[in-house]
Amino acid sequence: MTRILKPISAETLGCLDQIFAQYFREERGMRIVERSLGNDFTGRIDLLATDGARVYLITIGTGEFPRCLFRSFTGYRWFRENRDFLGRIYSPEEIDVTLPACLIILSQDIPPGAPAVCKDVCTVPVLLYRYRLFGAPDDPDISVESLAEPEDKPVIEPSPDVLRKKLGIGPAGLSDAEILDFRAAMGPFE
Amino acid sequence: MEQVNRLGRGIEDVSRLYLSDTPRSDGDKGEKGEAALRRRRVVRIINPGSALMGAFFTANFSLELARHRHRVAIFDGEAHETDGVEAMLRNVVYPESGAEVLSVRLYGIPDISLYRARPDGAERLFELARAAQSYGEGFWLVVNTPHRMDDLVQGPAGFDAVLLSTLETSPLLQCYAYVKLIRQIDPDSRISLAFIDPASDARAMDAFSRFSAFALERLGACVDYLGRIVRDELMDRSIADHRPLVLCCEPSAARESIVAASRAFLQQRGALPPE
Repeated sequence: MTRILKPISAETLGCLDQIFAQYFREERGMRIVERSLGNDFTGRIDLLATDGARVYLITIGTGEFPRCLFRSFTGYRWFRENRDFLGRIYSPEEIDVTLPACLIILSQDIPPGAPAVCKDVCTVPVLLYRYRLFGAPDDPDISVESLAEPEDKPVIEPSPDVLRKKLGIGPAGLSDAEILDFRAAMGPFE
Repeated sequence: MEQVNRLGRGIEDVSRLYLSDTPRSDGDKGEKGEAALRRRRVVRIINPGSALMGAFFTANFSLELARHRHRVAIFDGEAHETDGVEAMLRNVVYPESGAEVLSVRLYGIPDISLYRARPDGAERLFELARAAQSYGEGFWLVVNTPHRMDDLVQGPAGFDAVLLSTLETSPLLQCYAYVKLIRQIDPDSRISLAFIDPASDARAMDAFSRFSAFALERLGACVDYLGRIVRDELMDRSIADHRPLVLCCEPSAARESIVAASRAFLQQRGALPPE
């Protein structure tokens, strides 16, 4: 879970888009290209972002999840219908709108199974993030949690027993804790 | 064995070996003192991730030790026909008359004997290890060690180890397991680590810092750093041509990295003055 430590007051909940823009920029390496694109009638995109491989249409939900989902879908439809227009507005260096699109929805009340349902029925990838408000209502902190599908989550590391057999290191007598600690100490490399 | 014309080496090859920066007298004079007596004469090259790279490093590392006027014998524990040490040296090695021992003879460096594991590998290794200790200073038995920990446990004690690894976690864990095992077999062993083809010096240094800190904390083991072994086109060609990389005269980052690692190995053991 990634914790955003920057405190916000109840009055500044309207600034959620800035806070989440900071999150996706710093934690996910995205470039935020535009805020509040489109309109409430034909579709709105709260944040338009890219990482050079995809275009991300980010919807920040402040109400019930179904409404957020619907808003995200209409935003995607607006994006599709206006892709050529956006291609003329933004240079390819800013954002290549021909890249595959990916929807991101942030919501406080994502129901269980929602990631799997989205994966089954949607033709574009949908990434769900649950956010929570902590602390005093007038001065809350925010945490954000990615609800990735199991196959999108990091590969589950093999157990120490499997590792001992697979790597042929049984005779060294490494304990389970030693193997796990080593893995944690070394971290990811290449 | 196929007869290869070994007279084709150019003057540059020969010059490189003649131009060793270690004075010839050093090898004769040897070292004195307790440190020299304590020093292990057997060096096990262990690359759990790749037998080919282990054999490649063994061959070139041995040649580099010889270039620094050390007497060297190689024991190939892998003894695989296509990716063993013999294959790596095929262009410069030939059988000694009436023996199963092969020999590398090059201008300007001491002859290198190459012993194969088969048919009596385990016994032969014990014999050679005993002989190596009795030869004393200025002699190294370099053992290309296959990744079979049981063999290491049952083999002769009293050796130093050079571990080779990439930066992936699995081979690093294997190396850590070797550090632990070697400490159990011989607490006085000196263990060195070199990284095969890491993306950068910075990544390699970061990985080594973490690895050595963990080994020190958990095992009380000090691990020396030999640097990173770079891969390049010439390395691949030298393997394919069965010609040791350190004998090639073209510019090569890979060759320089092996030369630097060998030098670091000797310097860490006081067998070569620091630069």
